[in-house]
Amino acid sequence: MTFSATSAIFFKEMKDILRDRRTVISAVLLPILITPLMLVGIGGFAERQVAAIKEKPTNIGWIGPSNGAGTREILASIPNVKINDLENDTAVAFEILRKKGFDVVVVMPDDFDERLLAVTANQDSVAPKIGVYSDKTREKSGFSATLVINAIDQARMVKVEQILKGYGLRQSAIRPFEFQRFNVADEEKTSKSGLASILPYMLIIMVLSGAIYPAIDMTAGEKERGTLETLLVSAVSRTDIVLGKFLTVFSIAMITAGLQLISMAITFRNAATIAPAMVSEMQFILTFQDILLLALTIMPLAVMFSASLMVIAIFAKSYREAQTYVAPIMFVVIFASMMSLFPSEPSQIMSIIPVMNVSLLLKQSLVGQMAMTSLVLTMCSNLIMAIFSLYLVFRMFRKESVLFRL
Amino acid sequence: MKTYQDRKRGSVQAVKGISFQAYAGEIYGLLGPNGAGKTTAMRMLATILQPTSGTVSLGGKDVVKDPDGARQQFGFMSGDTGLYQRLSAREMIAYFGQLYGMKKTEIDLRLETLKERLDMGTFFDRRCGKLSTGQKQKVSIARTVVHDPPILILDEPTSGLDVLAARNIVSFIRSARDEGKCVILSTHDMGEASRLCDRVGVIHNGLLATEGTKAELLERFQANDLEEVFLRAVGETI
Repeated sequence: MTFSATSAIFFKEMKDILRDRRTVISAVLLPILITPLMLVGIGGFAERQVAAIKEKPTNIGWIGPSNGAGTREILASIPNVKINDLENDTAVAFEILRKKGFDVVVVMPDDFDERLLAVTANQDSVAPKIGVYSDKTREKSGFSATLVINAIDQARMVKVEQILKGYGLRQSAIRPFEFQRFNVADEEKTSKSGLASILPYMLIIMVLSGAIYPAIDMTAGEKERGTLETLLVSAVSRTDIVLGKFLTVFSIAMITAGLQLISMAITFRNAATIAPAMVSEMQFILTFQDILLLALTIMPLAVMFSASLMVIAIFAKSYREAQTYVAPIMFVVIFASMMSLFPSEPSQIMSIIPVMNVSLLLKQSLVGQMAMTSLVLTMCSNLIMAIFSLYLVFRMFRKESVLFRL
Repeated sequence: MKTYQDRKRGSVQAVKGISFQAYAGEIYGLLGPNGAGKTTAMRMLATILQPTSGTVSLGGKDVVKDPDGARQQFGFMSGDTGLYQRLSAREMIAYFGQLYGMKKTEIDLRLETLKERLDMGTFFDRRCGKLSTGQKQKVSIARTVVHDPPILILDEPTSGLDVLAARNIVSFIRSARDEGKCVILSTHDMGEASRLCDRVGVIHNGLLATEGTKAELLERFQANDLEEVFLRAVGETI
């Protein structure tokens, strides 16, 4: 192995791969644009959709003579709410609800007022029940049901106060003590906890997608184009060839991750300007130290991805065949990296499972709760996997049956 | 000899026994039909495949014991040889110069010589992906000889090329021989072998059936052309 040969291969591969439009899109443009696009595009779209649903008039179907101890009046006072009185035919009402004629149907028992009176006078222990019917497949119906339930709760509280008053009791009789919740985490950490769920997932996927194209292009792609043979007969060792190619794939993967982190830092810092409606949920601060720590954590994973993808792609005879082989890896990585999206405390087993461990470690590091055991186990496990994958790449590049499909 | 494992056919002997010597200043042709074992033999010469048994010595370097040293002795080109589409002709040739351990000043000098000799001035800085077949062939030739090797190993060098592009290759092979290089080429084209080669080795079923100069072969097999030589030589081994 010589440094000059490895560096010659590395610089040539970098030049070659960065001249390709596909690399520029997947490794440069995508990581830069994905975060602002998600924030402005998807985030803004979701916000607008929710607002549109809430702004749309709410149509309530009302069955029964009672006003539900004031529930009806509370609902009627809300702007954009229309209450439609219906005959006592629930089947017809539900059909209208299914056909989107109503957003929610409230069914008051005929004897609601009498039974409420009995409960109030302590003569009957069975409380009357209000039926709230909604269509769970429609968001608007869900929102409307929540609106009705909140109004019922409000009316019920008023009734409870009246009953307590009748017994000469104050409201504190049913709320004898209160509590207040405090957050001991500092503001920065609190702001990062939301980011901590989504960032590891996005970062891992981005590292993988950054490595996929160059890994395939420099192995199966070279086979297909007939350039691998010329490279193999040149006066450089297979070790130099593998190392030069591997360093290129790894560098592109890290550049992709770095660009995405920088893009995220800038986007979140300017969230108030980019997407004002979402600012409360999306205003995170990523410092330079954060970016450095995340990049260091992701590094062994980038080594593993680069080497594993090269091992798989070198088996293929063509670019297309390699893409088929790589597709299942993509699914496994997506699944494992989703760990950060769920609330979980990393166990020792989790800390040695590749991808999953990095996902959880990145999450911990973002909220400043990185455990030394997790760090050591994750790094050791990934380094072992990375070294093993690299060893396999070197082996594959020496196997005639793999290189030439004899 | 070269044996490999095939999932369907089991153990396959692609080259059963080939032994020959080629000298400086001559063109030695390995002539045989498709599947005769030519490409496997050429790949073993070029250190791409390792012989199962036996060895090859190129300019005194053993391809099994010292493959890195042997690679300095030859330039290899095949009909399937590709170019890096996103590199210019200049970058492509310079890259291989680097891989052969040449210094920058040596590479620059060699680039100018090759550009003049192969008349590549008009497209030298254009990306290979944008070149015509003939222009690509010239870049391929330049890439093969960038380190000025004493031996050239050419596997079916004119296969799939049109007349003009093939002519570039043929004149390159002749001038290499005239410069005192040893050229070993494989072909299934009897006419090409007859026109180009100083000596010919006939390969069939992984074995060297016969070898000699064209005159020697015509006399030995009482034939009028190499096609007849080939058929009679193959008939002897079947």
